Amino acid sequence: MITLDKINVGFRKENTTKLFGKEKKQVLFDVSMHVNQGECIGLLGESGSGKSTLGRIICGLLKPDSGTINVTGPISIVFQDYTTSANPRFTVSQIIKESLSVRERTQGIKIEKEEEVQHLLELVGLPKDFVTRYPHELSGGQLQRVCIARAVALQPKTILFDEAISSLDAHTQVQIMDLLLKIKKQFNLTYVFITHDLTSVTYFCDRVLFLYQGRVVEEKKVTDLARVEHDYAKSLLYSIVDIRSNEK
Amino acid sequence: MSEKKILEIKNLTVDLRNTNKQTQKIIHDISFELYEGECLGILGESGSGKSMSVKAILGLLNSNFIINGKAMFFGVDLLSQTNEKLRQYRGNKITMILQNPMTCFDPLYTMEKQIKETWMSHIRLSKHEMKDKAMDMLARMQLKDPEEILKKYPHQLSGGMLQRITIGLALSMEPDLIVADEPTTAIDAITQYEIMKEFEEIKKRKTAMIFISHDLSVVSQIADRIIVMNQGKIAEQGDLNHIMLHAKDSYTKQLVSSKRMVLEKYNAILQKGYKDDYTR
Amino acid sequence: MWRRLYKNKMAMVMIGIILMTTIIGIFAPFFAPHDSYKINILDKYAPYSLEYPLGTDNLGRCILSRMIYGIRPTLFLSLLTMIGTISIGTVMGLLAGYFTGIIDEIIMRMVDVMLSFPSQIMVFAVVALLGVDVRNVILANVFIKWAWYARMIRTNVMKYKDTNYVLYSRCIGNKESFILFRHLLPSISSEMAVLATLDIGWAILNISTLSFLGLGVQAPTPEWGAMLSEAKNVLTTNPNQMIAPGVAIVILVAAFNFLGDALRDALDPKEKNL
Repeated sequence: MITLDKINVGFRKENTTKLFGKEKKQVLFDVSMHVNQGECIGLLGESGSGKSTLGRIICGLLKPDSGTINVTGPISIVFQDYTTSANPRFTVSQIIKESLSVRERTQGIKIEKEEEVQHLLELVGLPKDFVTRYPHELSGGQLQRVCIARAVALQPKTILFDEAISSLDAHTQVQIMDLLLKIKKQFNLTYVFITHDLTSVTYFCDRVLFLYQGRVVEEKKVTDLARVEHDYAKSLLYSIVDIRSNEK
Repeated sequence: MSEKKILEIKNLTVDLRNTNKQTQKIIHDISFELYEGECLGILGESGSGKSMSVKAILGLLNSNFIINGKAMFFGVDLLSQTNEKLRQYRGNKITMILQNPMTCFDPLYTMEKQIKETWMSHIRLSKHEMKDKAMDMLARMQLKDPEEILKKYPHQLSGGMLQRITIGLALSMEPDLIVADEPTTAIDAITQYEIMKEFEEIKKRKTAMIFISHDLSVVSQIADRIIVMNQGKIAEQGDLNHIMLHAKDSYTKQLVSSKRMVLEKYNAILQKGYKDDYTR
Repeated sequence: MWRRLYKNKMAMVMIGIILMTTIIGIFAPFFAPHDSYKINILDKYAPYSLEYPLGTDNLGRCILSRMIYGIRPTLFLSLLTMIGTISIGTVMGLLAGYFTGIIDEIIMRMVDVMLSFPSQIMVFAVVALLGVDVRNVILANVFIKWAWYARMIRTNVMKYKDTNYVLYSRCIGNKESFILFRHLLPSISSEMAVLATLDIGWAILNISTLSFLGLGVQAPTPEWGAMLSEAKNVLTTNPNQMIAPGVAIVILVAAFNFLGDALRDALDPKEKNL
């Protein structure tokens, strides 16, 4: 589905000491990964680990300095910050229609948009009369559902989630993850799930890549997570704060 | 635990005045108390009014907010004090640890200067003694190479280090009450774990503490008693056992069950086995 | 947005003043009691009276009529200037901000050059080069001001270009025209509206200044700045002649400035939730 081979990315440094020429700060080093059809892969890393950059590479917003990317089929994306992920001047219906019109163009077909919007809202569990609402009239969870509907509207093969649930409240996170699992099954989708939260990866993903300082340091099936070897992955594993045990 | 109440909140309500002169209720009539040496956890999601209620008590809200009720701190009503008086309270008797340590410090000064400045108004010490005290404090917070840290600027230190310094500073005032507002939210998982360890240390010192967080597991680690807030009201209050097992409020139940579901799966995968008995 | 503007009393009063001025200007022949060009040398320096509500000038022309006819060049020329400036500035700013790279470099270097000229001297130079004419004044004004707008718009575009909804559109491969005209343009338009309103005041002042200096609107065409210029010759003997155009310019410019401030409050998306 998605194959990345030896991706290197660097950004131009802001305070260059040289007048000419480019000083680069490398963000990703030789990142290779492969995602299979129907899989849900987690990219786990802390802020500054390059995970968001990797996400932008995958969906083609950024070109790597070297390395090859191969993505089959259309890809869609859901962002972390739901407050800016929808144009504040668009209604829910317009937000979803943007994706639909792109689909019309790429697939060369005509879509009954109003009907399709209703259908998608139902899929993500929102009432149908939400079509006329504006983003600021929705709660975080509701807006994130709209963003999911928008992503699904494209009929993608892959959806990339860039910290899509991190800024939601704890129990909304679980609801959204359950919704995503349902949609994934229904449309046979592939998910790439970027996050810093290990517990949501274990709840949600099949396989996980640990990203540390721009390198993939560990790759494990979620079920084999207990057997990680890299120090960073280990310390992350043991830093999860559990609910305190009941003192007996 | 002693039975002496150090803080007692009675019927606190906070209203926000709109631009078009309407008022919006943010906190609806909440009451709670804090005993000596106790750690009270306030659990709630963004917009539930958890930080707002504490800010109201400490007089950190601007004049657009209308605050009613009583907040008795050692028998003094904080809500009826002048701003000047409140400022003396904050800093000497009550200290705060905030969410984002990066914004707590002035980026233009070295750590040494900032630490000294914080102390200047509260403690009478010579310059030399102050430096020793600062070194001592940093060492106690388990920061390596305190001498080096004092020379650095805030942006040269990591979030975890800065948060430790704020904790150290808060403790150095020897306050009667520490208010920690989401102290682990803005920092990454591994550091969060370490910072939590620091908080457990504070707890051992028997300083009264209000610990605000949105994360049930973080609160559960530290709090003796937990208040669950939802939409400006207290949804449930009691000890951890009560919240986990006997909560009557549906919102609290939902909160507990969703968190438990995620952690259960995590623990199952790690084959740690679920170490406590809440599952059964 | 309109509702919030509607609630703002200051904005409504200012819009009222501006609208009234515009209507009076458009229908000048209906409102003016006299012909604005008719010279009546016998009645010169007439004081305020029923026949001449604002008196007459040094050639005995009715000042009120001249004021009313003067709205046309004063207001409409400045509007024209702003439309010219904003359209060039928007196109350049959008191009530079959205496509970056070489296009950005070329446009921004042009802007840098433009902004390094002192603006008044630039206007004089253009007028001197092309001849004294109102059209040249407008051209000159647009010429010096577009760069400033291009820079503002470019900054705004770059700010909105990294918002998630634009990234989403780019990610799913939506048309550039959709991104530019449906996402970016509406996003920057509110800020632009504020700036433009504030700057109409500037344009009015500028055109009046140039007319005052004899470079803009030429006598005998009535224009507020030109009227001030005529009045300055008789300032000591008949100060009345100066009051009307002077006060009018102040009020109109102030109205636009206040409206700009009110618009800024009304269009601020941060207050949307209240």
